[in-house]
Amino acid sequence: MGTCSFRDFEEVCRRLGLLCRVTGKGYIWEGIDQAGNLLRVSIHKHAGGRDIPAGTFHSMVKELGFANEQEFYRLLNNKRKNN
Amino acid sequence: MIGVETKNINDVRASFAAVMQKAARSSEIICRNGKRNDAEAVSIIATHVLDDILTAYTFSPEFYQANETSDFEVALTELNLYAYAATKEEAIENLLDLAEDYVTDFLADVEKYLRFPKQRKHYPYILRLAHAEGREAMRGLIFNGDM
Repeated sequence: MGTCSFRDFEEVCRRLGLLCRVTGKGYIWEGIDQAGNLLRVSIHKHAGGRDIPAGTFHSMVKELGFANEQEFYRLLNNKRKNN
Repeated sequence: MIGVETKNINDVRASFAAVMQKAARSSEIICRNGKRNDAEAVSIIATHVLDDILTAYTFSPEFYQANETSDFEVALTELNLYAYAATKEEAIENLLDLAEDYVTDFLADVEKYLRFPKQRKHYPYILRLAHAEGREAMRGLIFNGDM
């Protein structure tokens, strides 16, 4: 279990097809996955740009529907290869 | 249903003041829009009774301190909200901001959120926070002195 850069986290949210809304207080990534579940992750604006610490990252990975962090990074790395 | 007064919408319309008075005295009244048992129904219930019922929905925030970044992390698993910051107090403030955002979003589009089982479970917690009078009351509900 480790940290994740804010940029990588945003990239995976985009890859999942989530849309970002900016509120006065933060960023809300929201969308519906292939199984029909609503995915919603919010990040406070003060945290924007900072690495996401391990515990929070682990919880957010679950919120995005991944079984574990390896799945998260698999999607991120596939994206990078495709770029 | 046992012992719960059920009225047709036309009867409620004709005696709405009396229905309100009865509900305010802590009785629940079910209003049906139609004669069938499966017709759309709405419970009319006193707000203070609803607030009492909602006290069953308590919050258990979890705090961590990250080894790698020294950030303080707080998780509110009842609403799947997570915040982190350089200090514990700042992490708490950030979480309160995210909770206010979520309550606002949820109630602005409640039909959307109730379509999804995971978010549907959040509804009583959302209502509990929505009934809090101000940020300090919300802070008390979520953190209950654990700050």
